[in-house]
Amino acid sequence: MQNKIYKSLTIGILFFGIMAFFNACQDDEIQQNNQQEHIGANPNQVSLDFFKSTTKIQNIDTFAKQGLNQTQNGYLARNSNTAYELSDFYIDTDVINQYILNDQGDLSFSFKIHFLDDNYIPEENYNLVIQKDINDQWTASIYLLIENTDTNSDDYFSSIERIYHSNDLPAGVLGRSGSGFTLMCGDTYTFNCQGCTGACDLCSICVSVTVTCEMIYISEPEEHNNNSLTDPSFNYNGGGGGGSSNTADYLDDLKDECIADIASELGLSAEETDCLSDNSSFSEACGLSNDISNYLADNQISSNPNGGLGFLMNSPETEEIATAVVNAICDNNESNSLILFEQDYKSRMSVSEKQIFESMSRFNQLGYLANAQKATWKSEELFPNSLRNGKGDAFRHAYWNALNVILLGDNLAESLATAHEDQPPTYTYSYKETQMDLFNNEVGRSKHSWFSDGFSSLTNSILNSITNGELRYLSHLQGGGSSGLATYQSQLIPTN
Amino acid sequence: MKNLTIIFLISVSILSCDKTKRTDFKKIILTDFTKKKIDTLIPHKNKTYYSYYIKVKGEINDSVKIKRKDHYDIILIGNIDTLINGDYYGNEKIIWVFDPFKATKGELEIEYGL
Repeated sequence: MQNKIYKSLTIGILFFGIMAFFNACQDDEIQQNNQQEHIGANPNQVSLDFFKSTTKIQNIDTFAKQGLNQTQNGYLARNSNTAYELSDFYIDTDVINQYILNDQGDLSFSFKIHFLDDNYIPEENYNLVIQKDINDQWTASIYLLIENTDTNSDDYFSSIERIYHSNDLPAGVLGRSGSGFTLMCGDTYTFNCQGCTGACDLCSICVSVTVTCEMIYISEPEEHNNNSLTDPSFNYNGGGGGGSSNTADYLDDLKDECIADIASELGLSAEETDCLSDNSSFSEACGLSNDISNYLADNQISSNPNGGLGFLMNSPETEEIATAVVNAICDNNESNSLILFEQDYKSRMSVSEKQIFESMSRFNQLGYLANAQKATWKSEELFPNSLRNGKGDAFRHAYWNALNVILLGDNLAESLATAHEDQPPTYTYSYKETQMDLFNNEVGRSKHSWFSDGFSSLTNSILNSITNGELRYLSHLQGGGSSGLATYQSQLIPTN
Repeated sequence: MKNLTIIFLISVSILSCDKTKRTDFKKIILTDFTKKKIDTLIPHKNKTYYSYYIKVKGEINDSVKIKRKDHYDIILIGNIDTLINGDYYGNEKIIWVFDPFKATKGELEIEYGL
């Protein structure tokens, strides 16, 4: 009897222990479940092929954008100050959430979209939702979700706004065709998605709509102008030709900043600072002046301000790189993020890549590193789910190589990128990764003249090459997802 | 049996409350060459990664195998002071397998991270 009690007690304690183990380890899972909460339905991740076969929409990009151009002249008010060009966004097709909306099996599909505006606001998230209307036609809606910065609030989004629907005009755009009184109907949306973190697709299940109409006077809209899409401080000239000495001015500004830093560190007076600016010893103090002169000479910037390079130096994406490089040269301390990255990156360079790298000027070395860093960040931002052997990987290599051609020239860019792949194989199919990288590197290098190719940024140019299938990625990755190791079945396939 | 149950429960509570389970860096000293050791590096969310690395330093009486799961074996022998690394972008867990192989004695200081 005593044995029986003892045995039962032991089993009870063991059972309790096992339950405690599972309970204590569920923190992450519980959090994830909350994130995916959706009233009435659970999201289901589906492939692009499934989406196409279900909706018969073969080109989501064309489908989502054609209505925008017809109904709104391509523009939509984001807020009272700035405007987005709606045709200028990228649809991430790596993660597609499908929701079953009702018992009849009606579906909606939601995509994350990225506006290709370097002036974007990080707290703003955009979802494209494709679902059928009452006439059984597929429609597209775009929702703006603004992340809540109030840490005391449980709501993940501070506001959710439908900014576009393909069947009607959003309130902010109505009446833009002319001035005068017009009947304006505004939709008021009630969102039941409080607490969700992006998984909610804003479909009819969680959004109820009230329509109110009133007569209002609409003023003639201001003429749209490409410059409004860019940072005004950046002075971009998109008109073709007419490039000025912006590049030289910009680099001069950076030089002045560097001198100011040195002067501040040494406690120099204003007169002494001016003297330092005019003195050739500046190059010894900062190591910058000669590098800039050489850089300008090497790349013929001053003699060719209207070329692709001149324009790219005027784009926010390259301005950021140039600033990082100059700051690294000026700082020259171990806490600088580019210097930290250098230690990391150099340790995994191939022998041949390292030899080339060591022979480069300091400015070019840091430019090369900053390009790699920028390409990683950009691909993470646009393709967070396909960074290994997927579309994100293809984007990273193409973007990185295009930046390298712009900053270092075609020959050096090709030598470095090819040498980077000169690594011993790490698994049976790693040669397929190398083939993919070399292919996308080469395509990327041909994209350096993005401006004369008619694109508003290098990012757009590379994304266009993904949409057109000019880049390649690997099929049949390990685990069946959009990112992972190559397998024996993996093949290089076009990105469209 | 009673002792076993108590040890089990203590182990469970320590393991289940382990806040280091999401870790992208480890440093261990390997002196037990009788069995394989497996460890997983898990990338932090919202952190940018560029590479993985593993540093091995020490001396052993024969050879050990160090292997990243699904990758080729790396065989190290005798007096070791090496650094291995590669591109990594934070998409997956990295599982390291430390196999004593032919080594029976020695000490290896192993540092691995993302």
